[in-house]
Amino acid sequence: MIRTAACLTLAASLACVSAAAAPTVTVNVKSKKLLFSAAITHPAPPPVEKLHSWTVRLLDRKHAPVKRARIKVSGDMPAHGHGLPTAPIAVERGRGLYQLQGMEFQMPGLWYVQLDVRAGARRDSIRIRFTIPG
Amino acid sequence: MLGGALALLLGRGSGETTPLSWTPKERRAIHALSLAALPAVPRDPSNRFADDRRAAALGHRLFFDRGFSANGRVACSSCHMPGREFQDGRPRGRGLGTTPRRTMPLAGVAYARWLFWDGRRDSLWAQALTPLQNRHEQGITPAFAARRIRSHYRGAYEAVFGPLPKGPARVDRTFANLGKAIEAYERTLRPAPATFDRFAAALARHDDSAAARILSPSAARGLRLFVGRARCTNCHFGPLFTNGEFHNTGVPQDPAAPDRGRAAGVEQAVADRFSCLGRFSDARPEECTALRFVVTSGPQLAGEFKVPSIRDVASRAPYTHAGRLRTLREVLEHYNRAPRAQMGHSELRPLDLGDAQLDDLEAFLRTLDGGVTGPKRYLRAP
Repeated sequence: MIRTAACLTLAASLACVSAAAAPTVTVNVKSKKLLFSAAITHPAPPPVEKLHSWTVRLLDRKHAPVKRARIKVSGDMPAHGHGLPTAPIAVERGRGLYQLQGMEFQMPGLWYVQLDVRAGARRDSIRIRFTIPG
Repeated sequence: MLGGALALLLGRGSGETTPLSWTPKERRAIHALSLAALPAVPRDPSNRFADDRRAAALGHRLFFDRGFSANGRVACSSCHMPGREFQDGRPRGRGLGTTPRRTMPLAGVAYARWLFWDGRRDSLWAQALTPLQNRHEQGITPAFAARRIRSHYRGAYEAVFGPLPKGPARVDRTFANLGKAIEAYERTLRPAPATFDRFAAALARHDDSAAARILSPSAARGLRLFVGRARCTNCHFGPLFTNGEFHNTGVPQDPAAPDRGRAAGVEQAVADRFSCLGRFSDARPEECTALRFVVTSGPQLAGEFKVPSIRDVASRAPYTHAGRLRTLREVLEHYNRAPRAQMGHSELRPLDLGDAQLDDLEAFLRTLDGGVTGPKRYLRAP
């Protein structure tokens, strides 16, 4: 519920997560149709009710960085039937790196986050699962 | 049936006198709910006068001034009554007419990201301007308000904001500043320590026997349910017992006039000319993070309402956005039964708690009894 400034610069993004630099985790995952692989870095665990950023490094099947991708971020809690309280925005940082700004989780529990990726003609989705302890 | 029997077993029934021993996880949860964990009041980047003392003093006078209404008889304080935690004890607020919604209390309101049950304003100052213009509440125009500032408050206004504005936007500019002064006043209203907080402090210094003397066994069992099996802290967490977000809990609605809640509120928040992104805001656009990342559409918004703080809940019947649940017990039974929502989809699941456990939860909720604090002169009319 505390309002924090948007973390606009990559250098500041991880520092914005919390006052004392919080631990992060990087999850390596492939997309559903295997068109992309992603290294998703997020706080471990993500904070509750705090705006923060994630980063995603997106690679294609040949492990080359994917440029000019459009990423739509959504989330859900199957046990509760609701999604994310915010609509995060993906900002391209170059060399396949994207910063997902405006991530927020309004409660603890089991969460799914889905990235719907569009790069040129290729469309695929990536889904990860994690639990925020509460 | 099995769930009920199990619940009775786990609930241990009434007459239990041995103090509970709290697990480390429960202790962390309890500390996180206590006022000791309340962070400093966040900045409001859209209002550069938010922490200005003279703005607060002016806002205090404006808040209680009945002259800012079409009939000269309705002030902010008419519904936000200082003696009643700044609310009115009615199912729906009453100014010039009757509003569709329950008046909300103000302790800790500075921490809210969104204002109103549907979050249709993104700052306290934008919120303050809304009842002023509402035909059920104060029913005046910005021009009326600006004229009254000029005739009754010119000196105090100019001491804070500089000379009265001139030019084409002068009415809106004066009006916005009126809101900003009221915000500065309201930011001083905070929750005062409750019985629960004294209990949490005793636990925090590992004085469990002192803690056991502060909360009754029933309230202690209720607290254990609150942070555990009843899952209340999913949404009612933090020192203000709210995540400040919107959820659908299938609250009973008037079938003749169903209230879409957040689905309608978010559209108004985005369109408001006094929002963080509007010309009267003092924020840089990139500071308006709530609006930047707001969810504006989607089926989940229908029937969602803001999670209210439940500090002092026992003295604030009736409950929910239109006051349709009359007692605390009705609220607890609603959560226990988890009926289907009339609008959208309820997130609740039945809890299968027995009567004794509902008694315990209610006993715990009654320990959230601190009331409002702030500068003494601000807790009453000027």
